[in-house]
Amino acid sequence: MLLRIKKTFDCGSNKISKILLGIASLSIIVSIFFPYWHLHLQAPQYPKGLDMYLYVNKLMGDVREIDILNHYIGMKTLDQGAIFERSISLYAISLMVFSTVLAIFINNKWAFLFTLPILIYPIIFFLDLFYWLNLFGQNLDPRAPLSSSVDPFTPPLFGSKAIANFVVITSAGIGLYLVFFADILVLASVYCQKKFQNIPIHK
Amino acid sequence: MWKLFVQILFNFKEILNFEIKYLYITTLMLISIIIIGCSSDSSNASTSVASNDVDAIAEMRGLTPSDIEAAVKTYVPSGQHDEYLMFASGGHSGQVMVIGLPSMRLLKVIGVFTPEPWQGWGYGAKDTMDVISQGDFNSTELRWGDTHHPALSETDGDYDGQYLFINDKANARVAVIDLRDFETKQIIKNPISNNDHGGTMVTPNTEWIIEGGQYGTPLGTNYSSIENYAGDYRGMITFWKFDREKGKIDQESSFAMELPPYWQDICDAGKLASDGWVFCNSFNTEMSTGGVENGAPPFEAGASQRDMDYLHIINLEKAAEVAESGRVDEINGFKVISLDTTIAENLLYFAPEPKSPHGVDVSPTGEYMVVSGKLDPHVTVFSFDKIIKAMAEDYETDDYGVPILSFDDVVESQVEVGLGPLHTQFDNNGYAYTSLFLEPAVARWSLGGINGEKNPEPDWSLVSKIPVQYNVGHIAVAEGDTVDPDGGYLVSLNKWAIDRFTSVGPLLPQNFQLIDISEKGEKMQMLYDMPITAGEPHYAQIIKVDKLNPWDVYPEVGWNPTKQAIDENAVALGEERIIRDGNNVEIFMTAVRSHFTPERVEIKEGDHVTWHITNVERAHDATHGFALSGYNVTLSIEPGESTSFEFDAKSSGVFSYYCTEFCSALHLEMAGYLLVEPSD
Repeated sequence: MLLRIKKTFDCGSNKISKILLGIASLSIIVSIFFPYWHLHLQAPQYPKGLDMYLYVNKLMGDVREIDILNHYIGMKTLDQGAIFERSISLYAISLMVFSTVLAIFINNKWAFLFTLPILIYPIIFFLDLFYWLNLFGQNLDPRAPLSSSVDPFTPPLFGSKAIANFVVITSAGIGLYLVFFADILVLASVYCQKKFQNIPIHK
Repeated sequence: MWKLFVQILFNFKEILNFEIKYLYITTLMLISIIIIGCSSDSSNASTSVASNDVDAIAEMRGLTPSDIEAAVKTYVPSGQHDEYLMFASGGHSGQVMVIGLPSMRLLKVIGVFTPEPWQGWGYGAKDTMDVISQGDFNSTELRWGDTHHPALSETDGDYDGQYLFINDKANARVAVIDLRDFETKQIIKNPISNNDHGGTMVTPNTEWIIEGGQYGTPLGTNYSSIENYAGDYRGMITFWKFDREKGKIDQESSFAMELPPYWQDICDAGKLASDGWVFCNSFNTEMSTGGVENGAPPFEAGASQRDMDYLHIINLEKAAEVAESGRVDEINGFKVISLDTTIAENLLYFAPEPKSPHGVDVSPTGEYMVVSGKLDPHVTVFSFDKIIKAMAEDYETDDYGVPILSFDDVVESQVEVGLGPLHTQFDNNGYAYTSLFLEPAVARWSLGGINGEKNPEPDWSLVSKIPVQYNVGHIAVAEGDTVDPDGGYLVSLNKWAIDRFTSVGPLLPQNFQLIDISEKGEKMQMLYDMPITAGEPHYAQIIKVDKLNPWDVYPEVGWNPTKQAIDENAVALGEERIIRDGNNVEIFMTAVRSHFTPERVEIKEGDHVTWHITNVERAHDATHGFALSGYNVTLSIEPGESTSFEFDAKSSGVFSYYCTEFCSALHLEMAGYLLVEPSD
């Protein structure tokens, strides 16, 4: 298996590895203009459904309407979530991209270390998103009008869930796909670099 | 992967300890049964069952095949939309009705001259009260109107779906309705007259809104003895300048023309060939002054003595120049071109028309003016071309000096259509339709000229008639008074219903009848009877739905619909407050599902209260109402809307206020208390 990939993916030179890192950086930058996560609510009263789009630094879509609905079950308003993360997101991403760009210009085996932030970025994103979903869903105001009929719940990271007369469907957005794409390029780049420097790969 | 799958498949019998071929056979049989079952179910079985059902239902209900055809043509299934909207005058309800075609479902009654509680129109909301009282006269609160002729705004002679205008015959007023939110924005009182009938119509680009008068009076609503009728009484036509940007009539730039005291009736604006001209018909050119109680002939006889009345032909383009140049008199501060100036400037010509006409309707190309004398079985078609030529010929004048063109010089054709012809509309197949009040029926006849080539019948000939029930006044064809009629549907606006509906006592609804006119030739099919339960509608216009572009919700939170801008007192979420300044209390409130903020308003007896409410919702249909007990206040606050009302707290007590729209499951809880503390 590994042999076959090695054959088809002949890196040739260190340049390819650098180009891959460059595209990855670009991809991350572009990703901030697209939503990372999409929450869609379905109910008979909303023939078009309701949509909330999560960007790294903002919430878009039917946020007000979702807040109005959420107040019946005692959920906090959406703008109270991840305030810190959203405020630092653009700086953090800038640093991350900067670090990746540094890796392009480092020609030793430690270059790989500078690509670590971009690799763990989606993991941090998921953990943080789950943290907030859980915090919001599990901490419903007991004095809310419908607190007795809706038990605390954690909205799904990806997937669907029925809550009262609504079905919640969540999915990854283009931004997140761009991050995945960037990470695949980074992994490929790391692989290339190792091969070029003739350093055996350890898993 | 595949190998694994095949392995599992072939080792099935060991797995299940079962003879594999039986499994396959059984499976195949099951599948074939399902396939056969499904196919027969979806083709033969279902349709035959359905048609059997339809036949059975039809038989049970006594429906003929033609009834079923009519039902299929008009039925709009649950959740689907109509193809056209009809804006119908609400007659003396003072409102405008919005009706979907072909379903004939009533979609809205727009509050115009009369307060309307559902829309919070004139029940407290300050801006609505202001718009309605713009139409007050002599410090009398006029709280109803007699709406007659709706006019949709036009661009290049075709409806553009932006505005609707309508007149009030009883008090000579004109209202402007914005079709972004279907709300009345302006009511304007005619300063020189107290009744109108020749309105409203618009010029092809809505530069002018036409309001023709009806019963001659001394202009400026002054007094003069009826003995001085010929000398002091006058007819009039007013041209209101419409400012499309502001969505309002500009009174300063508007003007009227003094006309002889013949009773002017309906008008129509010229278009294409006749652009820049306006046509009105008239009756009582006898200048009968009534007095049946004194032995004089009653109006109905006195005003029908002569065989001919006068079609008024007005050069609006030139009249506007005259008004612009300042050659006007001022009556009650309003620009009026005197009859002398009108004659001197050749702004007005008459053409004899068969007596007591109702409609004058300009054909889609603008070449022909169709006049129906109610007491003459013909429609008379005037040629604009011939009218212009006749102006260069010698002519007589009436007693006031207005030129009268020779009838024979200007008539293109007369078509015998039937008894009591009233009003004419046009379709896309080169046909005209004329209502016949006395028969009662609607006549289809073929036009001449370019339009005449669209159908096989000879030009200017009667094609067929369809009886209507009963006593038809106006008719409306889809976009039937534009330069580009759609045809397809005709609505007959019948005055009497007699036996058409289940009895509801001596006051009967009017009857709107939908007629299919889509086929060329003789066939027209009656489709549907719709009872109209608010006043007696006169005219209606039918517009294709895709020309309209109404808002789902107001564009921004805090919107003032009268100003069509953000309200200066709009309240943002979290900025609700109560401010006291001496005896003046100002309340800034928000409404959102399912609460008002604040929910307690504590004031003192004798306070003057100004109360602002903003509906901060953005959801489609999340309207909140606001009803305050004891103060005659009911508001409709649509998503994004901000509104205000004022009152004096006359007596101490505890009053409730609540949301009148069932906005959510906790709608009943959307309430609050107004606590008025006694003043020591």
